[in-house]
Amino acid sequence: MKPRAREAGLVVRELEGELLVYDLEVHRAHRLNRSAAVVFQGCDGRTSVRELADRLQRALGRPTDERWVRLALGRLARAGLLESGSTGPDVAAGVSRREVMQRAGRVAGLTLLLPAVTSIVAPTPAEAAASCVVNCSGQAFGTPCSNSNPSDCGVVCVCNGAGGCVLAADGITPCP
Amino acid sequence: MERGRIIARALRGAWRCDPPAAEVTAGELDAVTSALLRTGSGPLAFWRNRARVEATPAPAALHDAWRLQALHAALLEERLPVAVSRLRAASVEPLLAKGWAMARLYPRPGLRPYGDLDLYVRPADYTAARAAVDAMPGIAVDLHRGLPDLDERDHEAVLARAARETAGGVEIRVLRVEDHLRLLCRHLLRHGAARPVWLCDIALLVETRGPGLDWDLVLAGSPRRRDAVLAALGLAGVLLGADLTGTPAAGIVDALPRWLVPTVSKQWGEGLGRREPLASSLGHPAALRAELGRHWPNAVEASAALDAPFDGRPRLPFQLAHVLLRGARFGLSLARAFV
Repeated sequence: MKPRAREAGLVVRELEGELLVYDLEVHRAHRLNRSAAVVFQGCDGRTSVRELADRLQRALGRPTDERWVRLALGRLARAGLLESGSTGPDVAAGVSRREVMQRAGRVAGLTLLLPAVTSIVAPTPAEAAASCVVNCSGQAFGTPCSNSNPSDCGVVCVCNGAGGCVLAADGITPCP
Repeated sequence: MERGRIIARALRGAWRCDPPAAEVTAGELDAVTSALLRTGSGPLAFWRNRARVEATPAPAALHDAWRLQALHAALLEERLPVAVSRLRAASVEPLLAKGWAMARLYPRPGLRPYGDLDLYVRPADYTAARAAVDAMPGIAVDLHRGLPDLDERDHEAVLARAARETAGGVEIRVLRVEDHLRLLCRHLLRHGAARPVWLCDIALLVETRGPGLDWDLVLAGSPRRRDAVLAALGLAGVLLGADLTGTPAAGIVDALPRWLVPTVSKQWGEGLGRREPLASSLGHPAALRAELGRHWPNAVEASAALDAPFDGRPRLPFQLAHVLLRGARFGLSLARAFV
Protein backbone atom coordinates (compact mmCIF):
# COMPACT_ATOMS: atom_id res chain seq x y z
CA MET A 1 0.00 0.00 0.00
CA LYS A 2 1.37 3.39 -1.04
CA PRO A 3 -1.10 6.03 0.14
CA ARG A 4 -1.48 9.34 -1.63
CA ALA A 5 -2.63 12.59 -0.03
CA ARG A 6 -5.14 14.77 -1.82
CA GLU A 7 -3.70 17.83 -3.48
CA ALA A 8 -6.62 19.33 -5.34
CA GLY A 9 -9.10 21.41 -3.37
CA LEU A 10 -6.91 21.76 -0.29
CA VAL A 11 -5.30 24.86 1.17
CA VAL A 12 -2.35 23.90 3.37
CA ARG A 13 -0.35 26.08 5.72
CA GLU A 14 2.24 25.29 8.38
CA LEU A 15 1.87 27.22 11.60
CA GLU A 16 3.80 26.79 14.81
CA GLY A 17 4.51 23.08 14.42
CA GLU A 18 1.06 22.22 13.16
CA LEU A 19 -0.15 21.66 9.65
CA LEU A 20 -3.42 23.42 8.90
CA VAL A 21 -5.54 22.13 6.05
CA TYR A 22 -8.69 23.63 4.63
CA ASP A 23 -10.82 21.40 2.45
CA LEU A 24 -12.45 23.59 -0.18
CA GLU A 25 -14.81 20.80 -1.23
CA VAL A 26 -16.54 20.27 2.10
CA HIS A 27 -15.51 23.54 3.74
CA ARG A 28 -13.81 22.05 6.76
CA ALA A 29 -10.60 23.11 8.41
CA HIS A 30 -8.33 20.59 10.12
CA ARG A 31 -5.17 20.79 12.14
CA LEU A 32 -2.66 18.00 12.01
CA ASN A 33 -0.18 17.49 14.82
CA ARG A 34 3.41 16.75 13.94
CA SER A 35 2.98 12.98 13.58
CA ALA A 36 -0.06 13.28 11.36
CA ALA A 37 1.64 16.03 9.35
CA VAL A 38 4.74 13.88 8.70
CA VAL A 39 2.57 11.05 7.42
CA PHE A 40 0.33 13.38 5.39
CA GLN A 41 3.28 15.10 3.73
CA GLY A 42 4.89 11.74 3.00
CA CYS A 43 1.82 10.32 1.26
CA ASP A 44 2.99 10.82 -2.31
CA GLY A 45 1.75 7.56 -3.79
CA ARG A 46 5.31 6.23 -4.01
CA THR A 47 6.20 5.78 -0.35
CA SER A 48 5.19 2.59 1.46
CA VAL A 49 3.80 2.39 4.98
CA ARG A 50 7.12 0.89 6.12
CA GLU A 51 9.02 3.83 4.68
CA LEU A 52 6.57 6.26 6.23
CA ALA A 53 7.15 4.61 9.61
CA ASP A 54 10.91 5.09 9.22
CA ARG A 55 10.37 8.71 8.27
CA LEU A 56 8.09 9.25 11.26
CA GLN A 57 10.62 7.68 13.62
CA ARG A 58 13.33 9.99 12.35
CA ALA A 59 11.07 13.04 12.63
CA LEU A 60 9.93 12.30 16.17
CA GLY A 61 13.25 10.92 17.41
CA ARG A 62 11.54 8.03 19.21
CA PRO A 63 10.60 4.47 18.32
CA THR A 64 7.49 4.16 16.19
CA ASP A 65 6.20 1.43 13.92
CA GLU A 66 3.70 0.85 11.14
CA ARG A 67 0.83 0.99 13.63
CA TRP A 68 1.51 4.68 14.12
CA VAL A 69 1.35 5.22 10.38
CA ARG A 70 -1.85 3.20 10.04
CA LEU A 71 -3.39 5.17 12.89
CA ALA A 72 -2.46 8.42 11.11
CA LEU A 73 -3.77 7.14 7.79
CA GLY A 74 -7.06 6.24 9.44
CA ARG A 75 -7.43 9.72 10.85
CA LEU A 76 -6.45 11.34 7.56
CA ALA A 77 -8.80 9.12 5.58
CA ARG A 78 -11.69 9.93 7.91
CA ALA A 79 -10.98 13.63 7.42
CA GLY A 80 -11.10 13.09 3.66
CA LEU A 81 -7.51 14.16 3.15
CA LEU A 82 -6.32 11.07 1.25
CA GLU A 83 -7.07 10.09 -2.33
CA SER A 84 -9.84 7.53 -2.17
CA GLY A 85 -8.57 4.09 -3.06
CA SER A 86 -4.97 4.89 -2.22
CA THR A 87 -5.24 3.09 1.11
CA GLY A 88 -6.55 -0.38 1.84
CA PRO A 89 -10.01 -0.86 3.34
CA ASP A 90 -8.52 -1.92 6.65
CA VAL A 91 -6.73 1.38 7.28
CA ALA A 92 -9.39 3.23 9.21
CA ALA A 93 -10.54 0.26 11.26
CA GLY A 94 -7.26 -1.57 11.57
CA VAL A 95 -5.49 0.28 14.36
CA SER A 96 -6.84 2.05 17.39
CA ARG A 97 -5.20 4.75 19.45
CA ARG A 98 -5.41 2.49 22.49
CA GLU A 99 -3.62 -0.31 20.66
CA VAL A 100 -0.75 1.94 19.68
CA MET A 101 -0.47 3.27 23.22
CA GLN A 102 -0.41 -0.23 24.70
CA ARG A 103 2.37 -1.27 22.35
CA ALA A 104 4.37 1.88 23.03
CA GLY A 105 4.20 1.51 26.79
CA ARG A 106 3.82 4.26 29.35
CA VAL A 107 5.84 7.16 28.10
CA ALA A 108 5.40 10.71 29.30
CA GLY A 109 3.74 12.89 26.67
CA LEU A 110 2.96 9.95 24.42
CA THR A 111 -0.62 11.01 23.82
CA LEU A 112 0.60 14.32 22.44
CA LEU A 113 2.85 12.52 19.99
CA LEU A 114 0.21 10.13 18.64
CA PRO A 115 -1.13 11.17 15.23
CA ALA A 116 -4.09 13.50 15.60
CA VAL A 117 -6.30 15.24 13.07
CA THR A 118 -8.64 17.76 14.70
CA SER A 119 -11.34 19.87 13.14
CA ILE A 120 -11.13 23.61 13.70
CA VAL A 121 -14.37 25.44 14.27
CA ALA A 122 -15.07 29.00 13.26
CA PRO A 123 -13.64 31.65 15.60
CA THR A 124 -16.59 32.00 17.88
CA PRO A 125 -17.43 31.24 21.46
CA ALA A 126 -20.71 29.78 20.29
CA GLU A 127 -21.01 26.35 18.77
CA ALA A 128 -20.62 26.51 15.02
CA ALA A 129 -22.89 24.49 12.82
CA ALA A 130 -21.19 21.80 10.80
CA SER A 131 -22.93 22.57 7.53
CA CYS A 132 -22.79 25.57 5.29
CA VAL A 133 -25.85 27.81 5.08
CA VAL A 134 -26.90 30.30 2.44
CA ASN A 135 -29.27 32.14 4.77
CA CYS A 136 -27.87 33.32 8.10
CA SER A 137 -31.24 34.28 9.55
CA GLY A 138 -31.45 32.76 13.04
CA GLN A 139 -27.98 31.22 12.76
CA ALA A 140 -25.35 31.57 15.48
CA PHE A 141 -22.32 33.78 15.03
CA GLY A 142 -19.64 31.72 13.34
CA THR A 143 -21.92 29.39 11.40
CA PRO A 144 -20.21 28.66 8.06
CA CYS A 145 -22.06 30.41 5.26
CA SER A 146 -21.67 31.54 1.68
CA ASN A 147 -23.41 34.09 -0.49
CA SER A 148 -22.26 33.51 -4.03
CA ASN A 149 -19.20 31.34 -3.87
CA PRO A 150 -19.54 28.02 -2.00
CA SER A 151 -15.77 27.73 -1.65
CA ASP A 152 -15.85 30.75 0.67
CA CYS A 153 -17.87 28.81 3.23
CA GLY A 154 -16.56 28.52 6.76
CA VAL A 155 -13.10 29.94 6.55
CA VAL A 156 -13.90 32.91 4.36
CA CYS A 157 -17.49 33.55 5.34
CA VAL A 158 -19.42 33.06 8.57
CA CYS A 159 -22.76 34.25 9.92
CA ASN A 160 -22.52 37.37 12.08
CA GLY A 161 -25.30 36.39 14.45
CA ALA A 162 -27.54 39.14 13.12
CA GLY A 163 -28.61 37.45 9.92
CA GLY A 164 -25.69 38.56 7.78
CA CYS A 165 -23.04 36.46 6.06
CA VAL A 166 -19.74 38.25 6.67
CA LEU A 167 -16.05 37.73 6.12
CA ALA A 168 -14.70 35.61 8.97
CA ALA A 169 -11.50 37.59 9.05
CA ASP A 170 -13.11 40.77 10.28
CA GLY A 171 -16.65 39.81 11.19
CA ILE A 172 -18.14 42.88 9.53
CA THR A 173 -17.58 43.00 5.80
CA PRO A 174 -20.44 41.35 3.91
CA CYS A 175 -19.35 38.28 1.97
CA PRO A 176 -19.05 38.78 -1.76
CA MET B 1 -14.94 51.40 29.13
CA GLU B 2 -13.31 48.91 31.48
CA ARG B 3 -13.64 46.14 28.88
CA GLY B 4 -11.98 48.43 26.36
CA ARG B 5 -9.06 49.01 28.70
CA ILE B 6 -8.67 45.26 29.20
CA ILE B 7 -8.64 44.79 25.43
CA ALA B 8 -5.96 47.45 25.15
CA ARG B 9 -3.83 45.73 27.79
CA ALA B 10 -4.40 42.37 26.08
CA LEU B 11 -3.04 43.79 22.83
CA ARG B 12 -0.15 45.98 24.03
CA GLY B 13 2.88 45.09 21.92
CA ALA B 14 0.97 42.29 20.15
CA TRP B 15 2.55 43.19 16.77
CA ARG B 16 6.07 42.43 17.99
CA CYS B 17 8.04 39.24 17.34
CA ASP B 18 8.60 38.94 21.04
CA PRO B 19 5.67 40.60 22.78
CA PRO B 20 5.98 41.61 26.44
CA ALA B 21 4.70 39.40 29.24
CA ALA B 22 0.95 39.13 29.61
CA GLU B 23 -0.69 42.01 31.48
CA VAL B 24 -4.18 40.57 31.83
CA THR B 25 -5.48 37.84 34.10
CA ALA B 26 -7.11 34.70 32.77
CA GLY B 27 -10.46 35.98 33.97
CA GLU B 28 -10.02 39.31 32.21
CA LEU B 29 -9.02 37.63 28.99
CA ASP B 30 -12.00 35.32 29.22
CA ALA B 31 -14.30 38.31 29.73
CA VAL B 32 -13.17 40.02 26.52
CA THR B 33 -12.64 36.94 24.32
CA SER B 34 -15.93 37.39 22.52
CA ALA B 35 -15.22 41.08 21.83
CA LEU B 36 -11.72 40.24 20.61
CA LEU B 37 -13.09 37.63 18.22
CA ARG B 38 -15.79 39.90 16.91
CA THR B 39 -13.33 42.67 16.12
CA GLY B 40 -10.86 40.35 14.40
CA SER B 41 -8.34 40.74 17.22
CA GLY B 42 -8.43 37.13 18.43
CA PRO B 43 -5.21 35.98 16.73
CA LEU B 44 -3.21 38.96 18.00
CA ALA B 45 -4.63 38.50 21.50
CA PHE B 46 -3.53 34.87 21.42
CA TRP B 47 -0.05 35.79 20.20
CA ARG B 48 0.31 38.45 22.89
CA ASN B 49 -1.03 36.31 25.73
CA ARG B 50 -0.10 32.83 24.59
CA ALA B 51 1.51 31.83 27.89
CA ARG B 52 -1.61 32.98 29.68
CA VAL B 53 -3.90 31.33 27.16
CA GLU B 54 -2.17 27.99 27.33
CA ALA B 55 -2.64 27.99 31.10
CA THR B 56 -6.39 28.33 30.82
CA PRO B 57 -8.52 26.40 28.37
CA ALA B 58 -11.37 28.88 27.84
CA PRO B 59 -9.77 31.26 25.33
CA ALA B 60 -8.57 28.39 23.15
CA ALA B 61 -11.05 30.00 20.76
CA LEU B 62 -8.38 32.67 20.27
CA HIS B 63 -5.93 30.00 19.09
CA ASP B 64 -8.47 28.54 16.70
CA ALA B 65 -9.15 32.06 15.41
CA TRP B 66 -5.46 32.38 14.57
CA ARG B 67 -5.41 29.01 12.83
CA LEU B 68 -8.44 29.92 10.74
CA GLN B 69 -7.10 33.35 9.87
CA ALA B 70 -3.83 31.75 8.79
CA LEU B 71 -5.77 29.51 6.40
CA HIS B 72 -7.89 32.43 5.26
CA ALA B 73 -4.76 34.45 4.56
CA ALA B 74 -3.39 31.54 2.51
CA LEU B 75 -6.55 31.60 0.42
CA LEU B 76 -6.35 35.34 -0.16
CA GLU B 77 -2.63 35.19 -0.94
CA GLU B 78 -3.46 32.78 -3.77
CA ARG B 79 -6.11 35.15 -5.06
CA LEU B 80 -4.15 38.40 -4.83
CA PRO B 81 -1.88 37.87 -7.86
CA VAL B 82 -4.89 36.71 -9.87
CA ALA B 83 -6.82 39.86 -9.00
CA VAL B 84 -3.90 42.16 -9.79
CA SER B 85 -3.15 40.40 -13.08
CA ARG B 86 -6.77 40.66 -14.19
CA LEU B 87 -6.88 44.36 -13.36
CA ARG B 88 -3.68 44.91 -15.32
CA ALA B 89 -5.22 43.02 -18.21
CA ALA B 90 -7.95 45.66 -18.08
CA SER B 91 -5.25 48.38 -18.17
CA VAL B 92 -5.78 49.26 -14.52
CA GLU B 93 -2.83 49.61 -12.14
CA PRO B 94 -3.97 48.93 -8.57
CA LEU B 95 -2.29 50.10 -5.40
CA LEU B 96 -2.44 47.94 -2.29
CA ALA B 97 -2.84 49.13 1.28
CA LYS B 98 -4.18 47.90 4.63
CA GLY B 99 -5.11 44.15 4.63
CA TRP B 100 -2.48 42.07 2.84
CA ALA B 101 -0.05 44.97 2.73
CA MET B 102 -0.04 45.14 6.54
CA ALA B 103 -0.58 41.45 7.36
CA ARG B 104 2.72 40.48 5.71
CA LEU B 105 4.58 42.69 8.19
CA TYR B 106 3.36 40.86 11.30
CA PRO B 107 5.55 38.16 12.86
CA ARG B 108 3.38 35.23 11.72
CA PRO B 109 0.76 34.68 9.01
CA GLY B 110 -2.81 35.00 10.17
CA LEU B 111 -2.12 37.32 13.11
CA ARG B 112 -3.51 40.32 11.29
CA PRO B 113 -6.80 39.27 9.74
CA TYR B 114 -8.13 40.76 6.56
CA GLY B 115 -11.32 39.83 4.85
CA ASP B 116 -10.66 41.16 1.40
CA LEU B 117 -8.07 42.74 -0.83
CA ASP B 118 -7.99 46.54 -0.58
CA LEU B 119 -7.20 47.79 -4.06
CA TYR B 120 -7.01 51.50 -4.88
CA VAL B 121 -7.36 52.57 -8.49
CA ARG B 122 -7.30 55.89 -10.30
CA PRO B 123 -10.76 57.47 -10.27
CA ALA B 124 -10.73 57.47 -14.07
CA ASP B 125 -10.07 53.71 -14.07
CA TYR B 126 -12.78 52.86 -11.58
CA THR B 127 -15.44 51.73 -14.07
CA ALA B 128 -13.04 49.41 -15.88
CA ALA B 129 -11.73 48.13 -12.56
CA ARG B 130 -15.26 47.51 -11.28
CA ALA B 131 -16.07 45.46 -14.36
CA ALA B 132 -12.88 43.42 -13.94
CA VAL B 133 -13.63 42.79 -10.27
CA ASP B 134 -17.21 41.82 -10.98
CA ALA B 135 -15.89 39.25 -13.43
CA MET B 136 -14.05 37.45 -10.61
CA PRO B 137 -16.79 36.67 -8.06
CA GLY B 138 -14.67 34.22 -6.09
CA ILE B 139 -12.23 36.93 -5.07
CA ALA B 140 -13.17 39.33 -2.28
CA VAL B 141 -11.97 42.74 -3.42
CA ASP B 142 -12.68 46.05 -1.73
CA LEU B 143 -12.23 48.38 -4.67
CA HIS B 144 -11.56 52.02 -3.85
CA ARG B 145 -12.06 54.92 -6.22
CA GLY B 146 -8.85 56.90 -5.79
CA LEU B 147 -7.33 57.24 -2.34
CA PRO B 148 -10.12 58.60 -0.11
CA ASP B 149 -7.90 58.76 2.97
CA LEU B 150 -5.18 60.55 1.02
CA ASP B 151 -7.49 62.82 -0.91
CA GLU B 152 -5.16 65.80 -0.66
CA ARG B 153 -2.40 63.86 -2.44
CA ASP B 154 -1.93 63.36 -6.14
CA HIS B 155 -2.74 59.77 -7.08
CA GLU B 156 -0.03 59.64 -9.74
CA ALA B 157 2.61 60.85 -7.29
CA VAL B 158 1.56 58.29 -4.70
CA LEU B 159 1.62 55.56 -7.34
CA ALA B 160 5.03 56.65 -8.61
CA ARG B 161 6.66 56.40 -5.19
CA ALA B 162 4.86 53.18 -4.21
CA ALA B 163 6.97 50.20 -3.15
CA ARG B 164 7.21 47.23 -5.48
CA GLU B 165 6.62 43.86 -3.82
CA THR B 166 6.05 40.41 -5.25
CA ALA B 167 3.21 38.01 -4.53
CA GLY B 168 2.82 34.72 -6.39
CA GLY B 169 5.31 35.88 -9.00
CA VAL B 170 3.35 39.04 -9.74
CA GLU B 171 4.64 42.52 -8.96
CA ILE B 172 2.39 44.37 -6.54
CA ARG B 173 2.47 48.11 -5.88
CA VAL B 174 2.14 48.86 -2.17
CA LEU B 175 1.83 52.32 -0.67
CA ARG B 176 5.13 53.78 0.45
CA VAL B 177 5.43 53.67 4.24
CA GLU B 178 4.88 57.41 4.66
CA ASP B 179 1.68 57.37 2.60
CA HIS B 180 0.59 54.12 4.23
CA LEU B 181 1.04 55.44 7.74
CA ARG B 182 -0.97 58.54 6.97
CA LEU B 183 -3.70 56.49 5.29
CA LEU B 184 -3.89 54.12 8.27
CA CYS B 185 -4.19 57.01 10.71
CA ARG B 186 -6.92 58.76 8.77
CA HIS B 187 -8.78 55.49 8.10
CA LEU B 188 -8.69 54.65 11.80
CA LEU B 189 -10.11 58.03 12.77
CA ARG B 190 -12.71 58.09 10.01
CA HIS B 191 -14.09 54.81 11.33
CA GLY B 192 -14.09 55.92 14.95
CA ALA B 193 -11.08 53.73 15.82
CA ALA B 194 -13.58 50.89 16.04
CA ARG B 195 -11.14 48.02 15.50
CA PRO B 196 -8.10 47.58 17.74
CA VAL B 197 -6.19 45.90 14.93
CA TRP B 198 -6.15 49.17 12.99
CA LEU B 199 -4.25 50.81 15.85
CA CYS B 200 -1.92 47.79 16.00
CA ASP B 201 -1.16 48.44 12.30
CA ILE B 202 -0.11 51.99 13.10
CA ALA B 203 2.02 50.86 16.02
CA LEU B 204 3.68 48.22 13.84
CA LEU B 205 4.53 50.67 11.05
CA VAL B 206 5.92 53.19 13.52
CA GLU B 207 8.11 50.65 15.28
CA THR B 208 9.39 48.98 12.11
CA ARG B 209 10.03 52.21 10.19
CA GLY B 210 13.45 52.63 8.75
CA PRO B 211 15.75 55.47 9.80
CA GLY B 212 14.99 57.30 6.59
CA LEU B 213 11.26 57.64 7.13
CA ASP B 214 10.21 61.08 5.92
CA TRP B 215 7.98 62.43 8.69
CA ASP B 216 7.39 65.60 6.69
CA LEU B 217 5.75 63.47 4.03
CA VAL B 218 3.67 61.62 6.62
CA LEU B 219 2.39 64.88 8.09
CA ALA B 220 2.20 67.02 4.94
CA GLY B 221 -1.18 68.61 4.47
CA SER B 222 -3.50 70.87 6.38
CA PRO B 223 -2.61 71.60 10.02
CA ARG B 224 -5.85 70.01 11.22
CA ARG B 225 -5.12 66.76 9.44
CA ARG B 226 -1.57 66.89 10.68
CA ASP B 227 -2.90 67.14 14.23
CA ALA B 228 -5.34 64.31 13.55
CA VAL B 229 -2.54 62.04 12.33
CA LEU B 230 -0.48 62.94 15.39
CA ALA B 231 -3.46 62.14 17.60
CA ALA B 232 -3.74 58.68 16.02
CA LEU B 233 -0.04 58.09 16.61
CA GLY B 234 -0.46 59.26 20.20
CA LEU B 235 -3.34 56.84 20.67
CA ALA B 236 -1.09 53.98 19.59
CA GLY B 237 1.39 55.06 22.23
CA VAL B 238 -1.08 55.52 25.07
CA LEU B 239 -3.43 52.61 24.47
CA LEU B 240 -1.11 49.99 22.98
CA GLY B 241 2.29 51.02 24.23
CA ALA B 242 3.78 51.76 20.81
CA ASP B 243 7.28 53.15 21.10
CA LEU B 244 7.02 56.71 19.77
CA THR B 245 10.58 57.66 20.63
CA GLY B 246 12.12 59.77 17.90
CA THR B 247 8.78 60.50 16.22
CA PRO B 248 6.96 63.83 16.05
CA ALA B 249 4.31 62.22 18.23
CA ALA B 250 6.73 61.54 21.09
CA GLY B 251 5.71 64.65 22.95
CA ILE B 252 2.03 64.52 22.18
CA VAL B 253 0.99 61.76 24.52
CA ASP B 254 0.41 64.09 27.44
CA ALA B 255 -1.24 66.65 25.19
CA LEU B 256 -3.93 64.39 23.71
CA PRO B 257 -7.44 65.75 24.17
CA ARG B 258 -8.99 64.27 27.29
CA TRP B 259 -11.95 62.79 25.43
CA LEU B 260 -9.85 60.75 22.98
CA VAL B 261 -8.63 57.74 24.95
CA PRO B 262 -11.92 57.22 26.86
CA THR B 263 -13.86 57.38 23.59
CA VAL B 264 -11.76 54.67 21.98
CA SER B 265 -11.75 52.51 25.11
CA LYS B 266 -15.53 52.73 25.27
CA GLN B 267 -15.81 51.89 21.58
CA TRP B 268 -13.60 48.82 21.93
CA GLY B 269 -15.58 47.65 24.94
CA GLU B 270 -18.84 47.95 23.07
CA GLY B 271 -17.69 46.13 19.96
CA LEU B 272 -18.42 47.07 16.42
CA GLY B 273 -22.19 47.50 16.33
CA ARG B 274 -22.55 46.78 12.66
CA ARG B 275 -24.65 49.40 10.88
CA GLU B 276 -27.29 48.53 8.35
CA PRO B 277 -28.64 51.15 5.94
CA LEU B 278 -31.43 53.12 7.61
CA ALA B 279 -33.56 52.54 4.56
CA SER B 280 -33.76 48.84 5.43
CA SER B 281 -35.47 49.73 8.74
CA LEU B 282 -38.08 52.10 7.34
CA GLY B 283 -41.55 50.98 8.35
CA HIS B 284 -40.21 49.12 11.41
CA PRO B 285 -40.09 51.71 14.24
CA ALA B 286 -38.33 49.49 16.76
CA ALA B 287 -35.68 48.44 14.28
CA LEU B 288 -35.30 52.03 13.13
CA ARG B 289 -34.74 53.24 16.72
CA ALA B 290 -32.08 50.56 17.27
CA GLU B 291 -30.44 51.40 13.99
CA LEU B 292 -30.44 55.13 14.75
CA GLY B 293 -28.58 54.32 17.97
CA ARG B 294 -25.96 52.44 16.03
CA HIS B 295 -25.61 55.36 13.65
CA TRP B 296 -24.70 57.79 16.42
CA PRO B 297 -21.04 58.58 15.70
CA ASN B 298 -18.45 58.48 18.43
CA ALA B 299 -16.37 61.60 19.01
CA VAL B 300 -13.45 60.34 16.92
CA GLU B 301 -15.57 59.48 13.90
CA ALA B 302 -17.45 62.78 14.00
CA SER B 303 -14.27 64.81 14.38
CA ALA B 304 -12.54 63.05 11.50
CA ALA B 305 -15.58 63.26 9.22
CA LEU B 306 -15.85 67.01 9.71
CA ASP B 307 -12.11 67.67 9.69
CA ALA B 308 -12.62 69.14 13.14
CA PRO B 309 -9.63 70.00 15.28
CA PHE B 310 -8.51 67.25 17.64
CA ASP B 311 -8.41 69.55 20.64
CA GLY B 312 -10.00 69.85 24.04
CA ARG B 313 -13.28 71.39 22.93
CA PRO B 314 -16.48 69.41 23.63
CA ARG B 315 -17.34 66.90 20.93
CA LEU B 316 -21.12 66.96 21.12
CA PRO B 317 -21.53 69.80 18.59
CA PHE B 318 -19.41 67.88 16.07
CA GLN B 319 -21.35 64.68 16.70
CA LEU B 320 -24.64 66.52 16.19
CA ALA B 321 -23.34 68.22 13.06
CA HIS B 322 -22.18 64.89 11.69
CA VAL B 323 -25.58 63.33 12.35
CA LEU B 324 -27.33 66.26 10.68
CA LEU B 325 -25.05 66.02 7.68
CA ARG B 326 -25.66 62.33 7.30
CA GLY B 327 -29.36 62.83 7.86
CA ALA B 328 -29.43 65.39 5.08
CA ARG B 329 -27.63 63.00 2.77
CA PHE B 330 -30.07 60.23 3.71
CA GLY B 331 -32.99 62.56 3.03
CA LEU B 332 -31.58 63.47 -0.34
CA SER B 333 -31.12 59.84 -1.28
CA LEU B 334 -34.70 59.09 -0.21
CA ALA B 335 -35.98 62.04 -2.23
CA ARG B 336 -34.09 60.82 -5.27
CA ALA B 337 -35.55 57.33 -4.79
CA PHE B 338 -39.12 58.67 -4.73
CA VAL B 339 -38.77 61.19 -7.55
